Amino acid sequence: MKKSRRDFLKIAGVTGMTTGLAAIGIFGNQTVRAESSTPIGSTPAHGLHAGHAAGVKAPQSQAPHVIDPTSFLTNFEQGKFVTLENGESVREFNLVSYPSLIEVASGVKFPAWTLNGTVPGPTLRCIEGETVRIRFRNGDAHPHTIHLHGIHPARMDGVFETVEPGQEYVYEFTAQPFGVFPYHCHIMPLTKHISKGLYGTLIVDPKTARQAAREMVMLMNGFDVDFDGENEFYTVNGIANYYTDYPIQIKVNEPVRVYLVNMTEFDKINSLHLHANMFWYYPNGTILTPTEYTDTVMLCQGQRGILEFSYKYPGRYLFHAHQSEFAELGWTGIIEVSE
Amino acid sequence: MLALLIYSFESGVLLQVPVSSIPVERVDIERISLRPGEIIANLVNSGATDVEIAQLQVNDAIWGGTVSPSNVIPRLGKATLSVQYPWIELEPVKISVITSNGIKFEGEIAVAILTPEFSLQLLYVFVLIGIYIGLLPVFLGLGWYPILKSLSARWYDFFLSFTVGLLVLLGVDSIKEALMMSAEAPAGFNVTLLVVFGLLASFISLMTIGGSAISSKSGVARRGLALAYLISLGIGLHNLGEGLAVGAAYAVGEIALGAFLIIGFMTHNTTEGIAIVSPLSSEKTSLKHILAVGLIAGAPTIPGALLGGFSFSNLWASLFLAIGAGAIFQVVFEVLRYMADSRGVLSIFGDLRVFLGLTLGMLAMYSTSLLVTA
Repeated sequence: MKKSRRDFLKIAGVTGMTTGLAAIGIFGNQTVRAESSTPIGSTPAHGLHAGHAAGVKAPQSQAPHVIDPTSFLTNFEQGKFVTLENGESVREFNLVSYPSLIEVASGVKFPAWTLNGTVPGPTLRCIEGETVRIRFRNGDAHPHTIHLHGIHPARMDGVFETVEPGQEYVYEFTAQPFGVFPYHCHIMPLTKHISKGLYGTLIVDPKTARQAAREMVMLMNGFDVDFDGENEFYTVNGIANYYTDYPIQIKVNEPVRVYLVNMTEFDKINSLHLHANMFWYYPNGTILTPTEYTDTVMLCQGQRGILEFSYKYPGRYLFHAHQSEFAELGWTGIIEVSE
Repeated sequence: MLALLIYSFESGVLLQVPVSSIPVERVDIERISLRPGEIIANLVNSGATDVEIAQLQVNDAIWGGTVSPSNVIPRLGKATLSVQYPWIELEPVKISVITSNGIKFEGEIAVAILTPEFSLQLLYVFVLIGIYIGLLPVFLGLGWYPILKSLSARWYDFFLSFTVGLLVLLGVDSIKEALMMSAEAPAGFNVTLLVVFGLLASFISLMTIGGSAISSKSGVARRGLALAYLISLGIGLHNLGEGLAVGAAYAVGEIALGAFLIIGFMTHNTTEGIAIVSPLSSEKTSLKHILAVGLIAGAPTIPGALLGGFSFSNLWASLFLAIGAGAIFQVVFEVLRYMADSRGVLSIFGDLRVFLGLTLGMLAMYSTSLLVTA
C-alpha cells in the first residue's frame, strides 16, 4: 500500500482525522477567500507597529480546577505541622503524581505527568533546621520518585527507592542548607520523566528571615509536545506567553525577590533577562550576599538562584530568556509597574 | 578457469586490490513490536560483512537488552532484539543499535501502541479488513454488470476503454508503491531490482500463457470471459500486496481503520470490480463465472491482511505489488488488442467513446484515490 498514505495516517493518528480532512479542504479552497476564520496563535505585540492585533490570549490555567500561573507565581505551600509521639513537630507536605492533559500554550494540550495537577509542581517552603516530611503518593501508571537537592540521608534522595504505581513513600529530612532547590523524579529514562513534567521548587528559608519583599517563584521549562526530543514551547511556570497576556503587577520602588529555577529538558541552558533594570543575584540562594549586579543570568538544567530588584519608574517592562529563540517560543513576560 | 582465477586471487599470485580497513556495515530494523514493558525488534544484517551489535540506545539513552540467537549477525542473517523498557502509549519509540565499529542504525515507531498478539479475535479482525477493503468493494463493482449489460452495444468500447483508464492508473500506482516499499526493505536484498524483475516476469509470463488463450480463434464471448479472468488475476495480485501493507500498518498502529477510510477503500476498490465486468457486458455470462472472477480479484486481500498483520516484510509486499502491476499492464495490452481487433491499434484512438472511456476511467481512479490518500 501507499507509503504516502501511511505517512498521512501516521500524522492523522497524532493530530486527529479532522486535520487530515481540513488538509483536503485546503486543496479545494486555495483560491477562494474563506468565509469564516478562527484566530490561532498570537503575534507578539511588542516591537511591532502599533495597532497590530495581539491574537489569542494564553489559557488562564493548565487545566480546570488547578492553580493559574498568576497565583502560582506567589503561591508558597507551607505544608502543615504534625506533632510526633516524642513531641517533635514536623512540617508535612503532600505530593501526588498523576497524568493530566494540560494546556501549555493557547489551544495546545500536552499529556503531562503532574505533581498535584500542575507542571511545574507546587513550590514547597520551609525553614532551615526544620524536620520536613514529603508524603509522596504515586497515582500514575509508571514508577516515580521525588529526588531532592540539598543535604540528606541516602534513602531520602529519591533515586533507588522506586515508588511503584499506587504506592506511597515518605521522605523525611532536616532542611539544610538554606537556599532554593529543584526537586524532580529520578526514574530512568530521566529525560522522559522530567520532560513529562515531574518537577518543582523547594525553598529553604534561613533561620533569620530575609528582608520583606514581594516574593515570586519562576520555574523555567520547555514542553516537547510532539515527543521528538526538542521543545516546541518554552515557559515560566507552565504556560507559553502567560505573563505577556497577564502581566505581573508590582508597585514603583516595591522590593521584589524572584526564586528562579531552570528545569528545561533537552536544551543545554536557559536564561532570564530583565528589561530597563538591574538585579542582585544570589546563586543557589545559599549565601546572603549577592555575587553579581546584572540584568541577565544564565542557568543550566537544575541550576537556580535568587534575584532581588525594584523598579524606579512606572510602565511596562519585558522579561524573557535572552536566547531569542526561547523568547519567541513562549518564554517572554511583562512586568507592569504602577505608582 | 574460474577455479584457477579464484585460486590466484586467494593465494596472492595476482595483484590484490587493497582492502579498506573499514568494513561496510548495514543493519536494518525490519519490524518493531511492543509488548507490555517490552520492545522487540527484528534485525537484518544487509551489509557486506558480519556485524556485532555492541550497544543499544532507546530514545537516545543507553539501555540494556538481549539479541538472540547472538549479537553477532552473519551477512543477510536475522536476529531478534528484546528490550525491557517502559514505553509510553501514543508516544514515539526509537531504537538505535550500535555495532562494535561504532556505526549506528535506527528504527522508529511513530505512535506506540500494544502490538496485537495472535488471537482468534485478531484473526477475525484481519479477515474483516480483507473483506471490507477487497472482497466487498470488488463485488460492489461487479454489481454494475446488469447496468452495463442493459446498455446499447455501442457503449461496449466505452466501457472497455474505461477499464483501460482505470487499470493504467492502478498499474502505475502499484509500481510507485512497490518502489517506495523496496526503498524501506533491507538494502542487501536489492529489492528495487526484484520489483523490476517481478513486474517484467509477470508481464511476460501472462503474455505467454494468457495471451495465447485469448488470441486463439475462439468466439468473441470466450475472449471477453478470458479477458475478465485475466483482469481479475492482475487485480487479485495487486490486492494481495495491498492487503499485506494494510494489515501491517494496522498491526503497528499506523492506521486507524475508521469508517471514513473504510468507505474510501470501498469506493476506490469498487472501480476494480467495474474493470473486471466491462469485457463481459457484450455477452451473457453465468453467475458462476461472475462469482469466480470476483473471488480471484477480491479474496487475496484477506490472506494479504493476515500475512501483513502477523509477519510483514517490505520485500514481499514490494514483490506482490510488482507482480500485480505486471499483470495489470499485460491486461491493458490485451484489452487494447481485443478492442483494436481488425481495426489496428492506432485506429481505436480516433473514437470519441474510447477517448471518453479512457479519460473518465483515469479520472475515476484518481478521484477515488483521494479518499484513501492525501
